[in-house]
Amino acid sequence: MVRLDPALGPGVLEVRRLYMLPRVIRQIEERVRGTASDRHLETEPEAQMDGLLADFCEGIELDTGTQFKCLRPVAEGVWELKTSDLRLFGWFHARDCFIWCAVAAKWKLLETPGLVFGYVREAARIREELFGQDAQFVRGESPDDVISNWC
Amino acid sequence: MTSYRTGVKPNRRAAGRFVAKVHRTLQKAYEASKVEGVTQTSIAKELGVHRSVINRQLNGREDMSLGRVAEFAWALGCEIDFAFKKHQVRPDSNHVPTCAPAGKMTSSAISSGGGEVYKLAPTAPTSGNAVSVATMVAEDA
Repeated sequence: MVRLDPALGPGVLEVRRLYMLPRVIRQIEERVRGTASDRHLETEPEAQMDGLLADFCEGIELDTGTQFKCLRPVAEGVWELKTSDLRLFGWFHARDCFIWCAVAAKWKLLETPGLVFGYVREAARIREELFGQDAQFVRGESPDDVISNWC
Repeated sequence: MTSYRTGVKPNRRAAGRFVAKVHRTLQKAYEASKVEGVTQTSIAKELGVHRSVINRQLNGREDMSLGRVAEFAWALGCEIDFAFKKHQVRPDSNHVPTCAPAGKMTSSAISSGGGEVYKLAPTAPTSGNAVSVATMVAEDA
């Protein structure tokens, strides 16, 4: 597990924590770095991701729906953090503590029916492999259970 | 435990975070205006564009010009409080050592504070300018 250093500004401490699997670093290199926005946005996907991660760690109010969302089936406890062009998959080990296991371009998900479901299943499988069948994670789909400051 | 930083260049990081901050500020102003009956449709009518444009811009799925930001503020009955403020980095703050904008960092020059750093992203220069959109203030406030 790798801890994300969100490079917050001076005098700013992390309120939320984010850990990532080493595979995510490879995925960022392969799927995100150097790509342009599919929506022709000025902010490229990697900078979008950087901004979202900084907001997450800084404890800034996140918008449910446009910035984070519980995925179906809810029982798997898998969530996505969202930017305009990217989806970051993982689960909440505890409130305000996200474990990030995959990243994908939104266009790829739209192009491939069922791919989101595949990421959900994969996240649940990885969690079980890492922490066993009794792995601790936040269950349910209430934003209050996973994020301390949302709208 | 190892740590990771995104490889975003500091200038792009500053740009991305500023754009996100503008969107966030705008969304909050819009949400606050809903209680007064403001809707995406009413804003679209005021600005003479289709509601879908307003929806995309409010949700960050379409870029906005500075002029459009000002138009949003106008439509929401707000004024924009905008300022450039100098970075103020204390030597003992939680920031890694800084370098000149065009300078390069070596991994040996950086303390990650917790172990190996996979990807180093040069930090903002001490003397650089910070842009701040503090708030959208309601005109009658």
